Amino acid sequence: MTPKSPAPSSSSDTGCARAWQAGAVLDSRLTGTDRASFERHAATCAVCAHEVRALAALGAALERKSAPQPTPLELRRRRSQLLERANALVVRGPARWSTLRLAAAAAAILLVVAIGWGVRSSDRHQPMDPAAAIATPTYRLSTSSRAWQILEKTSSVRLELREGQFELAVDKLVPGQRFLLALPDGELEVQGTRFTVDVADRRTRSVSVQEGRVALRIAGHRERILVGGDAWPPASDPTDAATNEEHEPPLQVARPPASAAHRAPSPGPSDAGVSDRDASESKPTADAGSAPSAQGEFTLAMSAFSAGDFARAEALFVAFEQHHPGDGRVEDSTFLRAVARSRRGDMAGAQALARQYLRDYPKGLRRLEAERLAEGR
Amino acid sequence: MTAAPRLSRPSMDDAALIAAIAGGNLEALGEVFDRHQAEVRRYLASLGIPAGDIDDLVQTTFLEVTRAAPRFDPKLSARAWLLGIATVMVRRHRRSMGRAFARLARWSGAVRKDAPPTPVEFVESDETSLRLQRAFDALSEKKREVFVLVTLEGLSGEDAAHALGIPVATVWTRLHHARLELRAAIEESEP
Repeated sequence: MTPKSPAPSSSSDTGCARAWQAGAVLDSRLTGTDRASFERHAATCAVCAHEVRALAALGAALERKSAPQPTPLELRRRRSQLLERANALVVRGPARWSTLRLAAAAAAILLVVAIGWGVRSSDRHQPMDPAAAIATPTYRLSTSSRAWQILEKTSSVRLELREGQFELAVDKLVPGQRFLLALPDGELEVQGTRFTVDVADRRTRSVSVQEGRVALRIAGHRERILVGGDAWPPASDPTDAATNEEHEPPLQVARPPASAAHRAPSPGPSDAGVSDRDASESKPTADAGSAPSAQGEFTLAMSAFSAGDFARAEALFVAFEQHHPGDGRVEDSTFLRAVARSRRGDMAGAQALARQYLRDYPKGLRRLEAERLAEGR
Repeated sequence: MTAAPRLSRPSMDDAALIAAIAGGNLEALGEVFDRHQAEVRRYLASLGIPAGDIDDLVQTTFLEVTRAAPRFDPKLSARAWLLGIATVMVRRHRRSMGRAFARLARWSGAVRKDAPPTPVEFVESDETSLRLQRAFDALSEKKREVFVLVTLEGLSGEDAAHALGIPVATVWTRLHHARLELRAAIEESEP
């Protein structure tokens, strides 16, 4: 089948209506008799012959770029490091690696949320404080599962759904009200809409929005806003989160184990008597029983940092690193813990944390700042 | 967790190795690393990752293989799948860098005004090549990924589409526009 012609500008610019086929030949999109036809044409058309040579030259010119290759010794060392880290994943998170092989045994959660639907309910929740300036959202829940709980019931309602089938009808939200669902691997927030969520094997399998707007936050992925007609993932790629041009390759990133060998916070020596242990024993605020998302935890820590509550910020960063050791922001977190410690006046502790950062990230983005901090400048 | 079975000899194909990795076989992970670390390094360099960051990203990519292995479809190209993982790691790395610079400017007091580290440099006195390299570096992330996968790594359009999680038609569209931009850079320098 002859491939479609791309934008007409390429043909008109080169002066031959078939010039666009040069790219198709190089990409092996043009085959058989079509290819043979173009090759015969290019033999007598200077424009097309030039096009083929020019496109081939692009690849050849850029192929000279290469990465420095490690020595055999360095390669063996890196291989060993990789296997050690992979082994740590197995040892510390065997449930994660083996759970992935128990997919067939897990129950599915099918959730249908509707505005104004006359859904039969087994429970009806009333606002706790009718006199509050912002009332509690009202909703109707129907389920035979016991694997759920109410995490919050104020102007925001937050339910945790762990396993089973749930039918909810959420009444129209007024400004100031929020309705959220904590899922095993993320969070779903109702923003006045009708949509369907399928959760199974501790993963959100799909979300489709019939009308309205939904904010979907899955651990390890950026927040996605889905509007009426949207689906996640799209029908063409059911393996992962993807919408139109803004998506990542089909890859499910599992939440890393709660602790990892290379991310344990180091004990911080300090002449002021403050140590990492003090910081980690501080109780960062979090919804009891909820599954904290990396984004949520990191945002919480940054808010504390911005507010000048450096002790709390440090504790929250420690918790973030322990819960999400594979997150790309762990390097930021490690450095900011050092900064937070210095802001608290514990320079010895800050220097120790800065040195830890330099050990963990010898080529890190903040190595210059960390070196200054480590030297007490 | 039961002990992972040792790899049988002679060597297994990539799909079998990935299946073994999914079963917790670290020897299989080492084998996959031996086979593919060089092309992952090359791919990362082609995407403009600084030399100093390539080692970390290679490690991160293969570590991610252990998590993603259970979901590998043996009908797809293992090489394309692996490069797709590397692509995800690169995007996260770049997002992390972007956040880091913004944050440093606000909190550390040491404002870093320069851009992220420059790509791998190679000595080249030819002006055309320099223009081409600059144009390549200026390509959008999406166009660069497609160009590298198809033109430099030799993946088919279908494999590149699977690696990046996009339709095949999108692969060809991005490749076409990438070539237009690169061609414009070359023609600009021609007398």
